[in-house]
Order: sequence, then C-alpha cells, then structure tokens
Amino acid sequence: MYNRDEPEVNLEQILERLRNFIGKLRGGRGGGNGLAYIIIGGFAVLLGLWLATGFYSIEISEQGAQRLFGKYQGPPVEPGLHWYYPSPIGAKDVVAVNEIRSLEVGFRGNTDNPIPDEANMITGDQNIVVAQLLVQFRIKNLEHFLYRAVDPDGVTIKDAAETSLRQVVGQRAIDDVLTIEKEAVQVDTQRQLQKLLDLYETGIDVTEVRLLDVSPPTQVQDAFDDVVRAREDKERIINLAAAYREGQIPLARGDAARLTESAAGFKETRVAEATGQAERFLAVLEEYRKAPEVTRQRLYLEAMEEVMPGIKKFIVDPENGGGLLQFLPLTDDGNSNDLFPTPSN
Amino acid sequence: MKIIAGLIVALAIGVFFLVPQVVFVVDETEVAIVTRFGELQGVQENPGLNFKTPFVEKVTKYEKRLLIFDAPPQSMLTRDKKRLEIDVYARGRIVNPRLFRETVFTEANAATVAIPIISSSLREEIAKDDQIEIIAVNREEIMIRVRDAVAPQLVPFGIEVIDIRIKRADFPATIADSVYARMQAERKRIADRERAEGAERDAEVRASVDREAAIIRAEATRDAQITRGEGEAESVKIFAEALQQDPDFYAFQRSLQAYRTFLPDGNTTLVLPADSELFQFLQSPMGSNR
Repeated sequence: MYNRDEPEVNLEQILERLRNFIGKLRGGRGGGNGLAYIIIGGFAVLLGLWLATGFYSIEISEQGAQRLFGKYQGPPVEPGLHWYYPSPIGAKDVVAVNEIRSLEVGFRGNTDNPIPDEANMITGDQNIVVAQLLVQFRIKNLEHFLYRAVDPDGVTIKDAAETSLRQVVGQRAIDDVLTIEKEAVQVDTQRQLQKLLDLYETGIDVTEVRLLDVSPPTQVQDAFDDVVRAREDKERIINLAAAYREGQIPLARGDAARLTESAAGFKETRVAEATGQAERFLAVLEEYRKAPEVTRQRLYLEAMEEVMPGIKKFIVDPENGGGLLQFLPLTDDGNSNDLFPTPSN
Repeated sequence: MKIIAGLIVALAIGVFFLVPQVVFVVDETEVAIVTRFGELQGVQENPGLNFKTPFVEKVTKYEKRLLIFDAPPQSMLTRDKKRLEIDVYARGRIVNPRLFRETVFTEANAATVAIPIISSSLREEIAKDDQIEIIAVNREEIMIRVRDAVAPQLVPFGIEVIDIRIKRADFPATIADSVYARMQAERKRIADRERAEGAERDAEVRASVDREAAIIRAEATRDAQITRGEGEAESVKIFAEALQQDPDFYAFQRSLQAYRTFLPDGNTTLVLPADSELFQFLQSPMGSNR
C-alpha cells in the first residue's frame, strides 16, 4: 500500500559509471581540458537532476515519513511541497492517513457474495451463524503503520478482525446475536479488534465496525422462519382472545343493566300501586267514618246488587230448614252434589 | 581542472565499487548481523548508516517487525471428546538476532520451527477444556495459556512471542449436517412452544372472560332480586300502615270487592235463608222477620 523510493538500480548511478568509463578512455589518450569540462559539466547536470528528485508533494489527507539511511526522521510531514535527500541517502513514504479504508469480512463486494469460510461461525450455544462484517479504519500513527507490523492493512487487520468477531460471537447465544445483541456484538468486536491492532503496533484506528448481515445458515433458514411464523401465530391468537373479551364483557354488562333496570322498575311499580291503593282506602275510610252504619249498609247492598244477578239463588225458610236436603240436587246437571258432598243433619 | 575531473572520476569509482563494501544501511524495519567468513562479528539493531570491514565482512538482515506464524487449520480433540477445527496464528518478533541466526537462519525456517510448537501446545490446552468452554467461555484464557506455554520454547530461537490467537474454532465439515439437524430440532421446539403458549393464553383469556361475564350477570340478578324484594316489602308496609287504621272496615270492603270478582261466574249456586238480612224486606216492609 505504501511506496518506498528505493529502486535497486539507480539511473543516475548507471549514467555516472558510463560517463566515467568514457572519460577514462579519452584521458588515456592524453585528451585536453575540453574533456575535463565535459566531465565536470556532465557531473554537475547529473548532480542537479539527482537533487531534483528530492522534491515531492503531499496531498491533503496524506502524511509523509522521511528516512535518512533507513532511519526514520520524525515527526510526519504535513501536506505541501517538500524536499528531502534523494535516494539512496534518503527515502520518503507518503500515505493517505486520513482516508477511510474498508475491510470486508465474510463477503466480497456485496453481501450477496458471501465467503462461507469467513462468514460461518459458532455461537456460544453451539449453533452456526452467518455474519458479514464491514470494518472501516484509518491510520493514527504513521510510524507504527509503516515500520512496526508486517502488512498492517492486509493480513494483519484481516486476521485480527476475524479473530475478534468470532470470539465475540462465540460468547453469545444465536438468538441474541440475531436480534438484541447485534449492537453489542459490533461494539465488542470493535473494542477487541482495536486492542489487537494496538498490541501489534499497526498504527491503525478502527473507526467503525458494522454487521451488515447476520442470519442463520441457509440449511436451517426455514426452521428459523417457522419460529417467526409461530410467534406471529401466537400474537394473532392472543389478539383474537382479546377481541373475544372486548365482545363478551359489554354483552354481559348489557344483560346486567337490563336486569337491574327492570328490577328497579318493578320496585317503583309496586310502591306506586301500593301507595295508590292505600290512599284510596284511606280516602274511603275517612268518608266511611263520618257515617259508618249507613255507609256500611249502602256498600253492602250495592255489592249484593252487582253480585246477585249472576248467581242461582235458593231462599229457604229456616222454620222448615230441616228439609233442606229434599231440594237437592238443586240443578239439573247432576253434578251439583259437589256443592254439599256430605249431608248435614 | 584536470585534477578536479580526475577527482570526480575517482570519487565515482569509489562510490560505486568501494562504498558498498564499507558502509551499509539498516532500515527502520530491519536488524543487521555482520559476519566475517561466517563467524559472527556483531549485531546492529539501530537503523541508520553503519560501517564494516570491506570484502571480508558480510551483512545479513532480518525482520524487526512482527513475524506472522500462521498454522494451517487442524482438527483437535477437546476434553469431552469432540472435534474442533482450529485455525491459529501467532505474532512474534526476533529479539535475539544472534540466536536466531545460529538456530533457524531465515524467517521462513523460523515458521517451520515455531508452528509445530504452537500447534502441539494448543492441542494440549484444547484437550484440557470442554468444547463449550473453548467456544464460549475460556477462549481468551486458553490463548493466554498457549502463549505462556509457547513463549519459553521459542526463546532458544531468539524469538519472543507477542500473541497467539485462535482465529477460528469450527465444527469439522463432517458433522456440520448433524449440527444443522440439531439446530432445526431446536427451532421446532421453540416454534411448538410459542404456538402452545398462544393456545394457553387463548384458553386462559376466554375462560377468564366467561367467568367475568357470568359474575357480572349473577351480581346483576342478585341486585335485581334484592330490589324486587325491597319493592314488595315497601308495598306491604304501605298497605299495612293504611289498613291498620281500620282493619274491620278493610276486611268488610275487601270482602265485598272479592265477592264482586269471584261470585258472578254463572256457575255459582247460593242457598240463602229467608231470614237473612238481605231479605228482611222481602216478606215485610217493616223488616218483620228480623
């Protein structure tokens, strides 16, 4: 990822040697000052060209590291135009430290392209889960990033990320990983990954760890879906039961209200009837008391007058009363025996 | 002028043929070992420009950065006799270049020495724990124990172990199917439980609703009977209070009313004595038979 300005064979060196070689040949023949000037002039031009290779620029978001005979000369160089000793005396490494880089674990390109070896892992309750992780990182320490770890943003961070994710997922049950603990998995993985990267002195700062996809393996997907369906069935049944409650309780309350109201009506009716009749009696009584004898007679006779027309009447003389039986049966229908079932003497 | 040109030429020859024999550069990422005909002369760990005796001394450079030892995945047996496919890696660095050179000579060779040591130590530690502990509980602890076991074994090679990590601990491919079957069975159990719980809640709610409805109706019936009783009691009381004013007149009046109601039905036959009060004027205007 970083470029080291250390070509094995240096162009300037080759040209230099060639010129020296030519110079020697001519010198052997006893050439004049002209050759010497050519040599000196050529040398000066080459020296100038060589020194010019010391210029380099650092873009925004980049930092540079300079080494003198292989030894790092801190601190990092900030953006701008710079000059440093050309190779082979000096060397410069320019790295985009602030650029956010990504690492894909368990997939390549997009989540539809999984890498089962990376993505399938064991959960704490010994199930298998498929997890796809995206790690984003930048460089926080250029010196460490360049000179302390081998391939820090390649093999090293990939190993560390896989290890961290598997360790974190291994501490949790599959249901938690799939649902409520997803956030915690991300946080713990980031913490563990950063710990390892610091231990390996990679100079990398993990800015984000995101689980793009966590799912059960395709072989058992149906079974997991059925659990979801079962939970929905359960919800539905509970809702239906609640609806039953909503329907039944008001019905019962309605019945209750009807019973109560009708009883109250009955009570009112009885009291009103009783009061009316009592008042009527008292009113009659009041008048009756003013002339009890006559009123009694009158009431009696009026009543008899009404009653008697509908009745068969036999009027017997008490003097001849002993012969009462001779009149029986008193009617033609023969059933009149019932009136006096036993003869009286 | 010729002298200057000659100096330049001489310098150039010197730079390109002699200098590399006298000086050597140690990079930030390297350590260097100087040997004379194979015999160790010195170790240069500090980066920068260094000097040596030309032609007779030779410089060898080693990695100063962390070395990667990546063991291939291996099947290991846990204490509870289950197999796990374990992929482990280690990070270490050369701390004693002299020993390193004497024993393993190259970084590649160091890996072939270190990896079997790491593998066998890990195998021993894995055999001390149950599968579940390795996956879930003790992973960190196991890695520390392996590191502590491996570290002294790599000291003789001049290597310091920084970290050992279990990258993957997976079920062997051969038992994956049975794992899936187990997972399926477990899911079925959960699904069945959810559905049964739904049915249970349903029965509970319906029973409780029926009970509540019955109670509501029963209480209303009770209250209604009480109210009716109250009505009747009050009615009785009102009558009694009124009638008590003259029980005799009430009896008389009420009897007359009753006669009116039940006598005139067409089937009644009445035998009356001629001397009854009703007929006192029937035989004599003076009510003689009285």
